[in-house]
Amino acid sequence: MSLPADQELIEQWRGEPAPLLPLLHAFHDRDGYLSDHALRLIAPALGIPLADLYGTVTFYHHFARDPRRTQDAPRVCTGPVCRLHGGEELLAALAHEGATAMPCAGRCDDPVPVLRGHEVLIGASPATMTAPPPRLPSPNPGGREECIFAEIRTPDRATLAGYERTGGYAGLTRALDEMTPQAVIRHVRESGLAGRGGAGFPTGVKWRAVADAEGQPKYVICNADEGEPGCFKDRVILDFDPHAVIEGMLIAAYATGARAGFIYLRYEYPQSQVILERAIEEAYAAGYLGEHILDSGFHFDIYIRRGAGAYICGEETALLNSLEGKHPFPRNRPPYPVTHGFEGKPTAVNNVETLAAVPQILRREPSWYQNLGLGDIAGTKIISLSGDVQRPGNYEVPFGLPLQTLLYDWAGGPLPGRTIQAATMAGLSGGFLAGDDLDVTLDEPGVRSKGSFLGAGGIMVFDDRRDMRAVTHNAIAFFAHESCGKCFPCRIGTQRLTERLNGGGPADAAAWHAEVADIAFTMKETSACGLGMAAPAVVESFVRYFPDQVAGKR
Amino acid sequence: MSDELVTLTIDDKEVQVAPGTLIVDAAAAVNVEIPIFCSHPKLDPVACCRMCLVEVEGPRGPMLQTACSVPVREGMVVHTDTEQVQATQEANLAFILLNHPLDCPICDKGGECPLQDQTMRFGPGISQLVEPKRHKQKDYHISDTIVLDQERCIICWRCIRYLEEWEDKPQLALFKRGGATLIDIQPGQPVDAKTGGNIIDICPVGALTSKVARFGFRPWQVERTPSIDPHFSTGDNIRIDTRTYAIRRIVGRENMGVNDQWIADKTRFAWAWVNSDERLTTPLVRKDGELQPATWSEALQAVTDGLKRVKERQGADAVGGIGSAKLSNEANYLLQRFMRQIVGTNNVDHRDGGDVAALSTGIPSLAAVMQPQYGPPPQYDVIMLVGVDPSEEAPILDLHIKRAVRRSGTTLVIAHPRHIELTRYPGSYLGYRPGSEATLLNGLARMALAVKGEENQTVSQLTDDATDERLLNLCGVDPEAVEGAARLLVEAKNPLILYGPMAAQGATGEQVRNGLTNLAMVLDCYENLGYLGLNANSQGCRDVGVLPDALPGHAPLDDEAARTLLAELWGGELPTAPGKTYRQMLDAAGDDIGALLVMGADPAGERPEWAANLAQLDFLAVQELFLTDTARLADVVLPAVSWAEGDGTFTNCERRIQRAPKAVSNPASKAAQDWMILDHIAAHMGMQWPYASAQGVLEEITTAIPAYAGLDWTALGDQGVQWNAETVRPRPAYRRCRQDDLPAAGEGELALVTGTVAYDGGTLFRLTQAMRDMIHAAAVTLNPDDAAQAGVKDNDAVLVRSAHGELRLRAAVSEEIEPGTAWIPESLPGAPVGALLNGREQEFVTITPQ
Repeated sequence: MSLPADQELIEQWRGEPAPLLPLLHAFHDRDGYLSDHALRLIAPALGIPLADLYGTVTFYHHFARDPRRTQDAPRVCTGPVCRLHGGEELLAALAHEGATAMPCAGRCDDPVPVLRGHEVLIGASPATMTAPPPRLPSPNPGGREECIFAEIRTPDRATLAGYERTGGYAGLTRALDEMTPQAVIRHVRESGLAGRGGAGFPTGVKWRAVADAEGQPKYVICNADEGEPGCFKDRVILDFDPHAVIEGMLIAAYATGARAGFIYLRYEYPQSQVILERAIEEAYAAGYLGEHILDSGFHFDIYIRRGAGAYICGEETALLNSLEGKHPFPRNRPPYPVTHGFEGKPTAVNNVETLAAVPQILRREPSWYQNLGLGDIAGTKIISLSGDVQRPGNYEVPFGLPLQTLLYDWAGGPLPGRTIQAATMAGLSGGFLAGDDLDVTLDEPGVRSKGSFLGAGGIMVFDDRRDMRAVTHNAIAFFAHESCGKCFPCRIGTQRLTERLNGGGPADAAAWHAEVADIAFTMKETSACGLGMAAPAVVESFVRYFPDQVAGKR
Repeated sequence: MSDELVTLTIDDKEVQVAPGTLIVDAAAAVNVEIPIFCSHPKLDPVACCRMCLVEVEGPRGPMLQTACSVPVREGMVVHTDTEQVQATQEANLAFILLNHPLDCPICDKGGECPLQDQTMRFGPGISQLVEPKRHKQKDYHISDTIVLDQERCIICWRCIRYLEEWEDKPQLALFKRGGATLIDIQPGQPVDAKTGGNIIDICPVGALTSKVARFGFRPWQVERTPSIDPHFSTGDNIRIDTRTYAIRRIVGRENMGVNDQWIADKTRFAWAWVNSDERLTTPLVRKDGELQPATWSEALQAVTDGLKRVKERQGADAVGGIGSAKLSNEANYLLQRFMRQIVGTNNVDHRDGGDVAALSTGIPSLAAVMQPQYGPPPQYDVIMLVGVDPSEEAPILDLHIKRAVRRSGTTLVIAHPRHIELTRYPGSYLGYRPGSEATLLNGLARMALAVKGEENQTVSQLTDDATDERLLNLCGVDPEAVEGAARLLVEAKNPLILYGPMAAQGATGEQVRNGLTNLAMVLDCYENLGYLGLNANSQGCRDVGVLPDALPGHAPLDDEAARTLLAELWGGELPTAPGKTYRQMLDAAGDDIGALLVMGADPAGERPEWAANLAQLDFLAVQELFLTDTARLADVVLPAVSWAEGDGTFTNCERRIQRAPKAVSNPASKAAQDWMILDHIAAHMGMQWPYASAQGVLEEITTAIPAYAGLDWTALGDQGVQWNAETVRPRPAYRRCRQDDLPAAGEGELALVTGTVAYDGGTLFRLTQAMRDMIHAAAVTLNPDDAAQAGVKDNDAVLVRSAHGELRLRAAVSEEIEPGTAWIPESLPGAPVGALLNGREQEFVTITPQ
């Protein structure tokens, strides 16, 4: 089969919504890199100034600009957990193939992932690399009632037939048949569902704001740019329960009055894209998507857009800029996406996990979800647990579950003969908890009382073998790598902290500590978005919990 | 937006501002300084530097917010001086300075650098730096004139935003990310926006410097003189910085009625000619066939003798004076006074003077076209351009128009033989054949009437020649396109119509002006019709009467009141017979014209035929800066000084009289100001004029021209004053607008399109070394179809031939040139398009490969 011609690719995408990323991917997939020639064709076709396009392309780390380093060159995960499992060694072993390092690829329960083109391989060495199917979450070890994972282990749940057989699309049907959009919003609001991407903003309140906002069309965006190291919950939901996400988006669209939606999927999840595309196709065929959904007056289309390797695109306003083909910097707020989102129109941006919970909630009464939590906080949270524990994986925990219960009872505790030295919170963004602070309940008030936050729910465990200075250095280096460069404190602060963890800074210990505290202060106080505000936490918590390791290595 | 003001409190001071005002601007209104880097009062906020964080009280206690991006709210309470704010300011500055190279001793910005200033004012006073700094490109040329130092750059994006928000040429962008982030051009595509140099002025550090000025000044050592641009008719406000008898740099100066704070690159960079070694520094008198240095008294005596001789032999009307729209009101006023009072002739004119049917009132107002960052929107919803290319002829007007289009939804209707740059915006484009303006305008008026559905017998009769068939065949324009343009104009609430000298010159100029007037009247916007001249003093030159058929103040020659006023002012009688125009004088030179006094013009360089005529003159005197082609032919050359070296006033296209005071001088030169040279010639001819200074001449002008009354040097101030158009605006009347059929193109013939480009081969541009490569090549540009027909490829050497002459040029092939036309700008290096012209409305050329 001959490769598509330039003009074919351009014509295929030019009239589509949010065309830049798919068009760049199309040329990248065809040629293995993005040539000057391609950029010079794309810029006028999409009306993007050439210099802007060049600048934007260089922002994304996935896009190769050099014909000698094509997209088939392996990208090896060197995330915090994969480093513990030989990620660096694997990278070195694949160096002859032009391998490059990739930040956490969202498979911390199954190290070490290697991305080769559109294929994901797993292995600790080139010889043992295979392409296994994704891992299903194990049954709830605590026997707790689940929301999101309630049906996920049903075989063929990912297909339309399997999904429908297990209550799928009942929530949508109920909403369309029995409820006004206002009633849907009220229902979700009463359930207490809040944003599971980390910010925890009440979902019903967000939808209300979009529904009330002036301007048409409105949009629903599923944020599937799961880039936080140590987080792999969204991928599991997408892989095993794609229709739940689609149904969640449909209900969100019905509630807010949106006509179209996007799933912004991180590029490291090519398998999830295949699964999602198939599910969307099925949903269209069955009349769940498109015009006159279930013979109602409700219309909705979903488009998948694949990211290109930029952590910041998980920040919702950077995601919007990325979709629009702009330089993916976070926007200034206000205005917020609920009034000025995609192309300046009212937009609900929701996380995968949030959306996946919606159909379950709609099928039932709000109080059901409310009561899933153990304490004051409604509902459940998927925790991606990885690192030095016996049974890493995704666990749906009720809010209020003690962390120790999760670590020791559910996940089997540390490996034999080891003790837990530290555990991260919110992936990397919450920094470490250690010592007595591990006695904490899994909910925001609990974790925040220890100076951290639960966020998107990634927890990476490090046992007593681990060099915490090295872990911290790699963590802050990740933030420096992913800082977008827009606001000064984050751009400069992440670099400076990385240098300080790398042996830099004043020789005098007191001066070193004062300086690190200064940098952290500046970043927290003055950064424009969550990345810069959160990034110092790993360093601060390391310094707080492990003063010996600071001194020892310096 | 509501008009009610918002009241808030900043540092316990109550302030009332318009809704939408940003905190940083509201603070400035009560003299509270909030430090900024990325924020700029003329650009959209991005809030990336975080320097402006202030505390805003809220329901959950005080919150840090960026003052540059957050608009005021009623009852808002802002603190800019708390410990918390100070701590973040110090911390922020410490961060910015970490990677800054601190090469202040060799940095042009040193001494006027916001980063320096803010470090002194708000900084911590200690450095945390221990590691080596990051190194990036330091001497990186992003254009022929602008150098980027990526180490000094703090990545505030002001430059990116200027090019995007004002120029609509986003040629700079952010590359890479995080700590690796760079501001860069797209490879191989340097910044070429015609006002791109403004990014140097707004750079808050020394990251962007001027290639023509850098390392040539220290800000605290220069003398700063507020002046105006000498190139363009918009009269953009500038500041000239000088030291030790030389211009060191030119920067923009804010005038919200004229140029906001922006200036063109030609203005900013092309001033090397002022300090050039090629300047004339001593009078020259022809002896034994050679021009030889002479004393001023020798030279002045020679001029007196020459003019007297010709006047006595051939009469006063055999003597002519040519002034210049590049020179001041004072010089031009005295030239016409000299010709009328002392020589006794109305033979006084300038290029684009009597040969062009201009409007005495210029254009209505620049402010009415402007869309400042904060301020009222433009007054026009449709702007029509007829034979005007602002991108080449008035770059700052171009900037205003682009801004009006992009920010205020103004629509453009463009009638031009060439696809000018502004045709990139949606609107209507009528690519007419040169010389067919009158018919096109009649067509527009006819269709406008039809769209309005109105009956108007007069207009119908006046425009009945512009049939669909004639529009198609004579103008080469699709009648449907004309109707579309007419519809846009009719539906406009308040359209502006601008035309330039190219559209209304020669025999049909008068008809074209009538056609424009008729159209404006049909559209009920008579007062919105404007004429845009090409030079810094195109308006003033006309105002002061350097026209063969008008006295100062646009008074006709037979205007009794004006004659009486001038006779009293000057003493004696004024000539009554109309004089010859610029072209007529040059065509008749050596024949009916025996002597010419040429001030600041170079007709010999413009047209080889005129050079031959000038050589036949009995006597030629030239006041000049350089030994031009015309000066080489002179009997006497009188060295003059430039706009920067003497006081003078210039009147811009919107009738704003502005001062250009003396900023620099060359003590080794004997050159003199033009007004003073004329004053001395007058004295040698026995007439003692009463002027002690240029201000004295202006004083007289304010008496001679009623509209200038009271506008003396002091009254003008640093921002100038507009004179009232109503004092001279003719009463509206429908007038005849007709033209004959134009000859059709023969086999292989292309209609010649000429006009002005900003970067031409003229002396005032070519002497700037850095910009030499930007000079428009000596080339003829033609449509790809015509090129194929002629067997010509891009960059081929070609011979361009008209009935009148020929030129050897390079071919350039471009879609932007309409089929059937060939584009050769004026003043190309060594290739005067005048060689092909013979004063007809339309000239055909053939192009053959060499």
